[in-house]
Amino acid sequence: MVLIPRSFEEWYKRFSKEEKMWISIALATALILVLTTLTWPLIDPMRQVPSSAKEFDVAAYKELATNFSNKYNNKLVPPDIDIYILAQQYYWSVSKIILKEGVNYRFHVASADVLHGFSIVGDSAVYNIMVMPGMVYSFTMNFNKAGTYYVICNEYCGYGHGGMRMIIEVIP
Amino acid sequence: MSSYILSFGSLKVYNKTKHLIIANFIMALISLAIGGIAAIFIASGRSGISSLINILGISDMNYYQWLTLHGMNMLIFWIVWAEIAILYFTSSVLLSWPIYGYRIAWFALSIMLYGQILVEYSIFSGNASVLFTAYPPLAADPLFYIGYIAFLFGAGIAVIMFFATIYHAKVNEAYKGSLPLVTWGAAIAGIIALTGVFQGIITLVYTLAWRIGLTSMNVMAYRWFFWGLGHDAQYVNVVATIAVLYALVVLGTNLSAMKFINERYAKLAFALVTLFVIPGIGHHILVDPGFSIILKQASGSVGSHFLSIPTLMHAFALAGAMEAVIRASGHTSLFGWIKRIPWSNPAISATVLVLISFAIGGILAQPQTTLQPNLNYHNTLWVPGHFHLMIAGGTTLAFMALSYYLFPILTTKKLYSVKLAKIQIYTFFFGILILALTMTILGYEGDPRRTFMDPSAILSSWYISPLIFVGASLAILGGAMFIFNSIATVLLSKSSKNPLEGLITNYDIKEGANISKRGALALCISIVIILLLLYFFSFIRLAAMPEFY
Repeated sequence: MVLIPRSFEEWYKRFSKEEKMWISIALATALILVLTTLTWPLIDPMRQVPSSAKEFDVAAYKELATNFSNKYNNKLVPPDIDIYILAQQYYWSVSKIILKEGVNYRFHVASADVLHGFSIVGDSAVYNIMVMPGMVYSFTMNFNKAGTYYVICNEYCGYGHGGMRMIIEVIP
Repeated sequence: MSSYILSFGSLKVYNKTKHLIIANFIMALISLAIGGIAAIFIASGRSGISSLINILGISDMNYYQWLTLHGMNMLIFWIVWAEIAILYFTSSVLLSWPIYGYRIAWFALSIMLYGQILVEYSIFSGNASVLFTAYPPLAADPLFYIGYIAFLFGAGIAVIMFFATIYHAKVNEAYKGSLPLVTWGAAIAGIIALTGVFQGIITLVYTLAWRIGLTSMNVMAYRWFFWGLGHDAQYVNVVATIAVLYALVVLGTNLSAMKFINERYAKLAFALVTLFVIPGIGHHILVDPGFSIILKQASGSVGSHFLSIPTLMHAFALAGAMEAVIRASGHTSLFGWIKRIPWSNPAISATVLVLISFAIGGILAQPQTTLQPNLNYHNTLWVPGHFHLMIAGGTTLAFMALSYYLFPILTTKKLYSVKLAKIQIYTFFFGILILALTMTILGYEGDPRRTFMDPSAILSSWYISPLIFVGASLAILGGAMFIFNSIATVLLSKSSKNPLEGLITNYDIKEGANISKRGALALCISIVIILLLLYFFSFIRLAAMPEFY
């Protein structure tokens, strides 16, 4: 039966009461998971996967990122200024930025060469997205807690990958 | 041709088949050994850069090389070689028919071996430290892609030979009626394997063309189609593992459990996997730019969640079969049978431990496949925590346990050491459990996977990272015990009339005994409720995060 061939009549049995019950429970479990997944964007609209991604010109984006880095590296970023970050083997275009708590900031992240990961880690906050060549990812971020956050690369990008780090200082 | 008598009749083991299965399994053991050696190095490096454990000289110059070696050998080579041995076993031995296209099967083996040697060589030479996913534009030595393609091509031929053998056994009336459940499960694994191999070859030929300058590379297309291979291959593992678990429950109870498995129910569950597996690819691209939210929700989240239906169904079938066997031999209380599970029988203990591993690993997967919580877990150590429970604590452990029965049946030799086999199952399981739970906790805090860095600066729980080395060492010890026992069985053991002695628990089935599966049902329901609560915990955590949209 399990290890040897049997005729159709021998193995084609009705489901027992327990089996029927368990199939409905398995189905219900999957439906709970699916419904939670589908409704959660409505319940918590403030924590979404960013949906804005555009193709970009590397040279033009590099200029935006360099300009941003020259002006605001290690400085407080005003709320109406867009933050441009470019990832390359093996550094971020800006090494430290200072942000205000509770203020909406517009981030743009892109890669100049291979795949990178944009991962914010700090004080029980973890946020991970992919950074790709050819696509600029844009999203709004609002830190609700002051503190030091680290941006690390979490998609393998080559030998220096572990050292790719940037700091976001959030002040009250 | 040797034949082997199990209590239900005789199994014919053709010499040709035997040699082919053992050759494939020996290749699997070699790959497991290489992957295990690599595991020592990466666990030592990962366990804390500044700690004393890192005495093997791991730095960011060689960590990724070892990691590529570990990933390729464990996820691709060990599993695929072992699966092909199992496919040949379930077709040729269980249907008592010689492998069809015997020479083609050896040709497949040599192509795979050729591919594996090219891949290992390119990794050792240091020109292919691109990890098992090989995401372009990170480029590897062209030999790496050629070897990868050759290995997949050979594996595809082997799967086709499996189907050809079933077809010929059927046409020549080697068996009457329907395929046995285990062969049926293996055939489902084979179908998924063919889709995976097909997508994998397309992706890698495209990548090779890009690597030698013939075309440009679309990174998004690569990620989607590569996961056609990567995702399907993992479901080949899950399906093959479950088929193996049915075989283990039956073999370990000396076929007593066979009557208590409803084959129609189990076959339905296997069929549902094929239905749900293809739409599930999307959970690998949930945080990629460029794919629409609708695709991510439909494929990544909804498609993947439905995969929990067949796996839950199998869990109950296996637990229920155990309960029914024990109850039918005279123990009638609702949960009393759990105490009576024969914990020193390697087939049964492995089945229970694999199910535990799948339950924990499975629930860790759910937040990752849900769009929003996945922002917390993507590419953190949580991910390898999850898949070590699935592939090492699940698939690998099940294959190890099966080999303790497969070698004696094939060669009619006794297992070299039954005692070692019993201890090995627990050593390996607890090693993987410690390793995976440590990874999960670190990943929860945001420790990135595939990254060689000192976590002490950014993580509050960095000090538990040496436990990775503790868990890995135990698991590697378990792996070494397994490899030693298998090779010693083939080379040193003597033939015996009853080669499975000591590996089997006999049950005295009483006619008309109460064989309800209510205990297993109650157990499964309580576990699912606990798991669902853990799943909802990931949303509570999400609500405390900064806002991002």
